[in-house]
Amino acid sequence: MGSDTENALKREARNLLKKGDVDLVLGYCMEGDNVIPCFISSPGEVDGLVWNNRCKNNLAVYLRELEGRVAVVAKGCDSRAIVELLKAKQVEREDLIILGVSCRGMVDKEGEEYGSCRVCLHRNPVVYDLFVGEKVSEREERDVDELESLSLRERLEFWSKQFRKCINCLACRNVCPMCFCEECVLEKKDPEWITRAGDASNLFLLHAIKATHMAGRCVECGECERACPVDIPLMHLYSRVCRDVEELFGVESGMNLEDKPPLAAFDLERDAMLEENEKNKRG
Amino acid sequence: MEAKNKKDGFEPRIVGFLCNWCSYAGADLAGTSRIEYPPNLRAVRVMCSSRVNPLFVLKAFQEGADGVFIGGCHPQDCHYMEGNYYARRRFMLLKRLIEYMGINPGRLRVEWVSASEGDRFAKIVREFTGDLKRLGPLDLRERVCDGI
Ligand code: FES
Repeated sequence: MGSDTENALKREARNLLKKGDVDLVLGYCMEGDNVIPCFISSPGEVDGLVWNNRCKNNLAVYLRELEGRVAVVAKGCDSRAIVELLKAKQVEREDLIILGVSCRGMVDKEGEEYGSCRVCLHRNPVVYDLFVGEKVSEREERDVDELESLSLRERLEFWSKQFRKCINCLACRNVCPMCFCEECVLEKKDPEWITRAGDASNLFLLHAIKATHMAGRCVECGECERACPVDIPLMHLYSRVCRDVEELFGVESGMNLEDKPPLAAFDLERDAMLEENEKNKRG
Repeated sequence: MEAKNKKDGFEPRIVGFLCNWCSYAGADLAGTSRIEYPPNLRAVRVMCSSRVNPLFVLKAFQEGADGVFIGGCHPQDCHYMEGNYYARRRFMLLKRLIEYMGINPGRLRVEWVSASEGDRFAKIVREFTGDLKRLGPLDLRERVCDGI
């Protein structure tokens, strides 16, 4: 027996498909004891839909590829990714029906909560057309990052060690709903910014570049970290970038359709003051 | 190379991205006015400070730069009206990022230098070179690869 939320989700999905309001429902289903994303196109398949604490995937990553009208199950991070995709004109609002659900944190096979969920600040969906289930309370503040207490030298050592593990599989990029460039600089051949057969400093460069690209985009869903085959704590890096963007430019990605991309905007007076402050602190 | 590891004889390598309309002209003026400044900065002329991708900065560090300098027009003077406003935000953020990753943010310096500020350009390069001498070599590639 599924939960009330799960049953309600099935009901809505069935309705939408029956009425022909959507061509496809994008949600989660079981495969063995794994929960995986699924694409449902007929009311008869709706019974396979599940909603539980293993629905970790950010479904927004599929939206750009899908044709027709789609109903998508969206917890906090999925909905924030959808907001960013809408802002970047990667998907059309009228092609989407967002089935909002609140999340209580997703867990892995062993039942341990994912790092990104432990520190998550937005478990409730930010946008939706239909809401299913009950809202949950949100944490107010970010955790303190233990890496902040390290010296510069120790930080460089830490990240070097992490990035030396990287096998350049780009799984972190492929799974990211915000990585949608047609041509990715990480794979560019001419000029080849990241030398594929080069030394480990290329991996350092790769991840530093990727972090700059996450600024103002990352919704902290943690998919990159889960996809990483060698357990690089990528979310530390991206969360830090998110926090910097918030502190400096007062924008939290995925929260508001009206927000301008912070690096394609400016605020003359405020930025001049910021510049002064930052100079005093960081040279 | 040998001298590089000894702090005394260390001459920092600086890659400078200078915007065509102001900072590059400022550097030019420093030269034509015979103002002396350290030869550590290698200038790369770009059309605008906003042409500088954070990637260029990171790549320069990877390839052995000890410091990176970005020079643009003063606010309100950018030849393309708003280029330096975007550059300003971009590099404030990049400084924080490199600091988080373990690179001293003082190794990235952003300044607005006009075409008439030849003396100021020279002064900034002198200062920056001095700062980098104090910080010592970055050796990013070596430190990432060998964990030293
Ligand atoms: S042209 Fe000089 S900063 Fe834009």
